[in-house]
Amino acid sequence: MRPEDWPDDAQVGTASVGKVGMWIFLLTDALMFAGFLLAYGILRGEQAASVNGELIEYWRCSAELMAQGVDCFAPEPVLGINFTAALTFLLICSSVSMVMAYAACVEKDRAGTLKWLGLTILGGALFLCGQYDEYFGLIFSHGLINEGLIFGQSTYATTFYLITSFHGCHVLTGVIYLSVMWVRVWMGKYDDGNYDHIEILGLFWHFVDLIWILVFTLVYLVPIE
Amino acid sequence: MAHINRKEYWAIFTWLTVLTALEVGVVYVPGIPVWGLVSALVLLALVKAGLVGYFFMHLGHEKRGLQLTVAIPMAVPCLYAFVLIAEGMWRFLH
Repeated sequence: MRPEDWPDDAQVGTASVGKVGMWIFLLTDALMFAGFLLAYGILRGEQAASVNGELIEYWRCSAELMAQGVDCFAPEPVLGINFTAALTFLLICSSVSMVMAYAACVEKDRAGTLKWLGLTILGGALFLCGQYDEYFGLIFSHGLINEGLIFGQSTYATTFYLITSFHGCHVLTGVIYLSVMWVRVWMGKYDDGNYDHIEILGLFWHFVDLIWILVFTLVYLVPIE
Repeated sequence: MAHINRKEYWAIFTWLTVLTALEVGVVYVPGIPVWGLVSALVLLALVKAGLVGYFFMHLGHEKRGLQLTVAIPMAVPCLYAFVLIAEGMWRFLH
């Protein structure tokens, strides 16, 4: 049965229980991300100072390092904006391929759904490779860890890894979820035109993209100093 | 009925790409005050997030009840973030 065949509820329309459930899950997840990003903002705001009109941030240094007399104004590795912008574009591409998979599924086009879902999986997998490269160094960089951005070394490093790796876990979950659904589409589970599961999958994947848009801006683009 | 509009999807994709390029570009423009840069970046990010939510997640086609269920809880951290950014800017300017 297709979602539009279900009774039209006054509050949620023809949204299935699964779809409403996914929205509730995404809300709780969004609030968790909001908590992380707000903590990031508070930590950053608390440890910034204006010296002769110049924004100086000393939050990159832990209290222990400051006590040891470490120069807290010495910069830790600068985040690669251009590379991360490319990863952002990759997620945007995977978002549009996801919505195309949904459209193909609604039209009972199994081959089209498989093609677009496959491209979405590819986009997610490439994003994960990019994040691995950013952390550990693979092809494009030496890796932030090798360059001295170590988890626990400073509030900057800790919040950076906490937020980006938590998002990375979502991308990994999304790629696994997409792969499972690809197999189910391949098995013909949605040939009857019931696109509800694909729509729910799309909600999760678009959410991953949406969160990255905010992380990219707040963590990578907003000037450090 | 499911809402499919491929032309709209590609248009949103184009907008998201352009806005991302704009975000990256504005970071490299010299001479922009910090408060102006932060405001522009946050505004652009919110517009992009809104486009994804409204068009790709089809929130625009949902019933008002579901829309409000999503929008009201999300307004709280947005409000808190606004206060946080405003307070940070005030401290920077004073």
